[in-house]
Amino acid sequence: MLEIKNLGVTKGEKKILRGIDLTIPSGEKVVILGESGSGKSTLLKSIILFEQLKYGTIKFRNRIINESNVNEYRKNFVYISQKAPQSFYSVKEYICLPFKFNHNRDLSPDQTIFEHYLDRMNFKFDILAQNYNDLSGGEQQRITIIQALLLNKPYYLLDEITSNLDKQNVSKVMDEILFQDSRSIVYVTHNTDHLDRFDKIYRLQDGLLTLEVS
Amino acid sequence: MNSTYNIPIHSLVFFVLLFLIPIIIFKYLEIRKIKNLLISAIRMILQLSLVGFYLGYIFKLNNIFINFAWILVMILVANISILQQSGLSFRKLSRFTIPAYILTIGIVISSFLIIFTPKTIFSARYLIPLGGMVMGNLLRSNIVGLNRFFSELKKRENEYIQYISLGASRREALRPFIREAYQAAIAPQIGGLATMGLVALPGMMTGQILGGSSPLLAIKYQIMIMIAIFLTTSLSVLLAITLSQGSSFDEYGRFKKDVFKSH
Repeated sequence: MLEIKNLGVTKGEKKILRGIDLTIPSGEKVVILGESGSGKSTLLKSIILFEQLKYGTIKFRNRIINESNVNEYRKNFVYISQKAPQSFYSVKEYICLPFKFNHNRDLSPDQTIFEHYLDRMNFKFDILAQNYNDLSGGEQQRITIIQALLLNKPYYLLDEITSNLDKQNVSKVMDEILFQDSRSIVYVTHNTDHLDRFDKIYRLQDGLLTLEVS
Repeated sequence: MNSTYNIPIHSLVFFVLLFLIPIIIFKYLEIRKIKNLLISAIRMILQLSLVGFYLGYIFKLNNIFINFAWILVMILVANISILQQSGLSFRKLSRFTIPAYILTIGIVISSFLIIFTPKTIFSARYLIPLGGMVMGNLLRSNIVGLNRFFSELKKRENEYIQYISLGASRREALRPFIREAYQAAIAPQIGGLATMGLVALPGMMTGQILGGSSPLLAIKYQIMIMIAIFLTTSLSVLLAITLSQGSSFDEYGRFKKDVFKSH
């Protein structure tokens, strides 16, 4: 369970987030709607403390998160930003990159699941040998989502990840992301498609978060 | 071997008057930078005259401590210039970049001991010109390297956050940024290595040939200095970026934007 209490973020004089309360039990899938500039990207990054909090607390599994346990805490999350990273690796090397990080050295990508994701997201296997940087923005985004899904973390923080995708691909990506019951999702977007597939819908406006549908 | 032809001062004055030609071109093209051009030209002449005078003095003294003090002063001046031109905070980063440059120059000067005896390389006539050449390249490559590293990190901070969330340590998450900055810093030099001698005769070689050395000896010096320069840029860029990370992140691993010069 993730509990965010009275969270505020300011940048300079500007109040980006004001008194945000948000509780996400494990397995809950949440969408946060907001126009651009509403502070939704900031909220997502605040959850993993990559924004400086003006006030407020974040509690995870009943522990308050501070600088001493933040690294351990972040291991429960995958954050995917709106724009896919740049990388000179081949697609295969890029997807497997997280498994080369020291922290994940005991893990290895499950071949069957790997192939399943490629297939489900409309890729042929020959994509693996291509240069990741040569792919289109939408392809890079889908490959990045596969990379993140392979790690199979409990919480996924997704920032407008479908903005580069066409309708058919959006639906496939949603299928895969929402597939696992135990996985918690926080998805921020301004797009109102696929909303019925989430457990709760919040709206973020002028830095204030309100529950719209539950 | 003959010694170099001595340029009489009045001929040099006439030669400087050739500056009028670019000035006329500036006027013709209506480029309103004549004042800039004149100031730059005057600075060039004054600075070089000054260097000429005190280098003559330092060469005459030829004291090993003064020679190294001179190198140290050059490092400090280079450091100011690098941080200023790459738009970074002198106050925040100097305590990392200065040690990086001292270490690099130390290694490079030590490496000259493979070729020269200590007595030769530590003498003013060798240490100061060789040190100066190496330092000029350190300056250029570090402006590019540091600027690229910090500005890309600022622009693509989400990538850094994303890698951290995928399990990367800070070092692992920063690797793509370091790689890119390093490549940008040394790319011009790799290009320079490949065309060396084909188009432009390098400055050091030209100087030696004018000074009366045989072309073969001049080439040996040139090869040596090219390797030294490449070593300097490689080490200094990597060390400066790596060490300056120390002050660029807070206790939560967030990138602190205060490494940039405030306007």
